[in-house]
Amino acid sequence: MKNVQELKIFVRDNLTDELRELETKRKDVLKKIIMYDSALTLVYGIILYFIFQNNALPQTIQPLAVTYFLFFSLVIYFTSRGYTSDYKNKVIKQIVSFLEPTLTYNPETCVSRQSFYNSEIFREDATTYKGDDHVSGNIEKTSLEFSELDLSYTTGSGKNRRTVQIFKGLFFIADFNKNFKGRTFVLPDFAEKLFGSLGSFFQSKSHSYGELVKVEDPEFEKEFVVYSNDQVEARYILSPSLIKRILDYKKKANKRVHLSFVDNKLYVAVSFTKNLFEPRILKSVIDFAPIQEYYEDLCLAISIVEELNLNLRIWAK
Amino acid sequence: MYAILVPVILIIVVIGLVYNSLISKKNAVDNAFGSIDAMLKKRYDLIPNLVDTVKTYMTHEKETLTQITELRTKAMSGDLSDNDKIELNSKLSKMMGSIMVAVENYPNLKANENFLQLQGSLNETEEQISASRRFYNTAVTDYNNGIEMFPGNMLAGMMNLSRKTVFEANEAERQNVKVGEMF
Repeated sequence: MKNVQELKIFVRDNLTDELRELETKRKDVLKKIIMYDSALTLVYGIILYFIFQNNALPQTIQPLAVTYFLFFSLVIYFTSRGYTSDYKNKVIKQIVSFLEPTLTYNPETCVSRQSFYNSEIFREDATTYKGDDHVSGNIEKTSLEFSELDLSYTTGSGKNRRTVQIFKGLFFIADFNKNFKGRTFVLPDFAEKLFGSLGSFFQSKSHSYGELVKVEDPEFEKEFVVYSNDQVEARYILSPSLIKRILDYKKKANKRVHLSFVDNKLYVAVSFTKNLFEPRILKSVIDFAPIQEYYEDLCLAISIVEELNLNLRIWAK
Repeated sequence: MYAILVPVILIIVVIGLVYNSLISKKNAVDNAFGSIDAMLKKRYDLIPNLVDTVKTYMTHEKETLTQITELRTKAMSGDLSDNDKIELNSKLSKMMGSIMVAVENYPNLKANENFLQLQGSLNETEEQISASRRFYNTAVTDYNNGIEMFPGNMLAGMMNLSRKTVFEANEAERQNVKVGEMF
């Protein structure tokens, strides 16, 4: 896996011109945004003045505020769209190639809804399913794909309408190196952390993912809870070596990590609160820090192959 | 009169729950032991294929191969005590291990398509056997916990349940195969 030093050299040798070009574009976009949004604020200011004159303030303030923020965000969205796409194609694509030349990057597509639900990690049906930054290809013997995903569903109606997030972050799919027939899930352990052994009592009652599988490693048990439809197969998949590797990966990622083994594939969902791979409008493009951040986030996904030793193919597959 | 009834019913219910839990744990152990058997059978099924594939190449290991075939027949004969079965299988593991190590001396065999596939299947089987043993150990630990911790320990004596031992790699398996001593 390439390190940060090598990344610095790569950026310096290959991307300086691009970055300078993008920096000019960015300043342009920022100017446009300030211009349009100032105009918007002015218009709303005038509207507000008239309303105030007519004493109609209380009932109109809410729709006014809502529409103001809506238009404000729309301005930012439409003005920066071209720039974002440009940046992704010029910078992020290069970083992906730099890390693994065999992988392709598409800023606009994402992991399909079907594939996401095939993992069976998240069961709620999404009303909003979006994603971007789609990477796919092969690393040695392992074929993989991943992208950023953001899905949620809405419940309630009218005043009680609210949006519940199902998942947001990196979603990764790869061929697993062993054959298996059933479904095994490795999910973040919430109950055991808080409640100790009583927590595991309650966990065993949750059957939608299958039977609770108790694994020998106590540190792993603290971080994860394992469910499967087949106790022996779960342990065949989760060899002591893989258990240790998953634990190390989770510690490195320092995020909520969900895994599932379904249909001879491995699914990994890493939860993020931030948006990934988005170029910042407000700060300079020439700065190395955001590039390092993209590199680290990409590594988090790509390194799964190495970290979980998916290219070790000594079984009958 | 009703004041006595409620705690009595409660005690009966609790006893029932504990009893059922112990039975369920005992059955889980038997189930797990059965799954070890199922995985071992997969290994028995692969052995004739292994012996056939390697015997033309591995002229020096003829003796080991014959022993493996004999052990397999014995293991499948069906009238062995549990302990005998366990010992037999660990001998089998050790011998099969030494064959797979010896393959290093036969580059033609190592490159053979059939053998490579066979090796993959064997690795799979060995890991599945290992997985089933781990499951067995978990079931036994659960069971032992059940009969030794409160409140199960009170019932265990009456139900005639005693502690079971977990599966440990016995001495023969634990000693690393000493390659030099094999030839």
